[in-house]
Amino acid sequence: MRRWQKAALGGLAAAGILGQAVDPGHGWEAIPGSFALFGAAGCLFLMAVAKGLAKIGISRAPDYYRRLHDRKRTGGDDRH
Amino acid sequence: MIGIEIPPAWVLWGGVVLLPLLPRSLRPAACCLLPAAALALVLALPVGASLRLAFGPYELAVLEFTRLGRVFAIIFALIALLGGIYSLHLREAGQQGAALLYAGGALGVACCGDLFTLLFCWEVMTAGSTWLIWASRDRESRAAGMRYLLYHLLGGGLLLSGILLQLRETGSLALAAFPPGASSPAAWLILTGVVINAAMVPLHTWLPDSYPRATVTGAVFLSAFTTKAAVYVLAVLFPGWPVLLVMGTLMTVYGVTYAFLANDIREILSYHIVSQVGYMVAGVGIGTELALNGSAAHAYSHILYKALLFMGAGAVLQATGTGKLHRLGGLYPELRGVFAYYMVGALSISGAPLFNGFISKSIIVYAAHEGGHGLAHLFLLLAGVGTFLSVGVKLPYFTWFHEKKESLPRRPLPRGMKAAMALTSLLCVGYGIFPDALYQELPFAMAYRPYTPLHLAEALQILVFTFLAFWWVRAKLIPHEGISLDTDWCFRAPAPLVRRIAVDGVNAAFDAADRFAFALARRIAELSVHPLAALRSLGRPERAFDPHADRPPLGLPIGLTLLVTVAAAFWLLSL
Repeated sequence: MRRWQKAALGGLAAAGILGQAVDPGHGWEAIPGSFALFGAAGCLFLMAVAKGLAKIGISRAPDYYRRLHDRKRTGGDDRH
Repeated sequence: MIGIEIPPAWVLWGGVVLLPLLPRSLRPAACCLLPAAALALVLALPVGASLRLAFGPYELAVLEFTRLGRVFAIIFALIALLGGIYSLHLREAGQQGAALLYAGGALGVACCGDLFTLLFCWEVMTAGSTWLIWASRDRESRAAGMRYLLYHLLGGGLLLSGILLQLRETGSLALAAFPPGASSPAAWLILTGVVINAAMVPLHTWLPDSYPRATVTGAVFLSAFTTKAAVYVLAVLFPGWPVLLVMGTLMTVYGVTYAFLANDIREILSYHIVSQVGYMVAGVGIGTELALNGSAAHAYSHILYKALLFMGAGAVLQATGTGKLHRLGGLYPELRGVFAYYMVGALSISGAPLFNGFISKSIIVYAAHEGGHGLAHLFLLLAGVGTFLSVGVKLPYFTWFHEKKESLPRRPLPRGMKAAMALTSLLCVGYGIFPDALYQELPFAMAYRPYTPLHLAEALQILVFTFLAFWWVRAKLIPHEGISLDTDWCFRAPAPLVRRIAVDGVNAAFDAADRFAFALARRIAELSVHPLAALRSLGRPERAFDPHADRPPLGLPIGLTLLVTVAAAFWLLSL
């Protein structure tokens, strides 16, 4: 990431925090940076859930359904 | 205003009839002019305009122009026009006609006033959209199109059953809202039929299964009509139904989770249709005037930015020949323009300020918050995070940036595709900057203001920190070839067994019955001609004629002749 890109991200984040200070809202929304934490934690949480689902068996080879039709002949594990 | 009370759908359906009569070179222009004429008609029609036709003992409201219907009709006609521009290079009358038929069906749904006309337009949409999937003409699109068709026939069947029950119970075909939680079987049948078209989880798999297999131009139309027409019907018939809030919220998170795992760029976008439609369904479930305005506004915005995203993804597919994320990468130097247009769509769907998603999605999130639906509010915010993660960051990063995985062909993009992307981008930004242009069209008065410091803070913080979280772990997110099993596994996995029992087994039984019937008929025929020979051959295996074995025996006639001769001789001698 280039320096100007980092500066732009920093500026946007600062504007976000400032906006919350001006108009704090109610409950957890009033905590400065609460949306930032929600965004980062939510992102990691969703990635973990998706990866977890993939690991428990929903990820398969692209031709999974075609192979399923003649699995008895081909055999083998078709997990991706 | 006398004289213009014509259903806008008729303009497009008239075009379907006209299209084959036009010279090939004029058809693409007709596919733009006809939606433009339909749009002009929609804008000219006054709210309350009506046209009724007698159909047997019933009076059908083929045109009943409401404020809510007007919002949907405007965007349906507008996107048909933009899709027509995107398809200007197309020289296939089948696809062009199917797109007009499909768009006309959606316009018909938005402008009709009775359940029977609704059902008719619903089925017309199914016919047009299925053609756009099959038009890819490969094995995968044929199979996916068939699954799509089966889902929609099921939905149409349920809708028809509900309509007939409703007619029997009330004697009316009017499009009138059912009270929330009504126990009438008609209401539930209609609801189930409609939510299939809204891609409600777990009946959603037709969407991510078929849209990625449609043609490049067909997917743009597909992304716009079916699900949003269903949202319109839900808003008319089922406002305030709590089950819609629950299921809509589930859809938002379910869609983003599966989108994160998808490898095909159009499949990622398809799962995000499920998620975004979830917002609209949740808005209908909340049922307040603000939430219904939010659903209508979000459908309007969504159609624009989702079409733009499918246009961008289609342009990548058109230029490189693949939409698989594990094969793409490093396209930025060659497809900068497409990247810019795509990012307008991506920032819009992510709810970034100054883009149209921000002014519509936030209405529903705010309505959930104001309505005291705290958990739904949290999930809707979380789905926003997931949307930006997949569509706003992961997809563009691994398509335009990251390392080039293989040398892909570079085909030039038609000018119509670029023009359509530019126009749609302008509209996404225009509505984002001037929200009142959309708000004034909404069915209820709007006091909501999107550009408050708190809304801006929420959007900026969520977007920036979602990006940073992705950037932190991006090395672990390299796309791989593969699919994710979805709820359609429940019927696709046992399909071979069901086929063996229901198709192969039945076929074998019919074959056996066939053979038995023919053998019986032959035996009866043989018995009639030569009873002894037929009886002797009973139980013997069938074989070719053998002159030694099959020659008629001479011993019996000779013996009989001798016996008769001897008997006659004795009789003569005894005289």
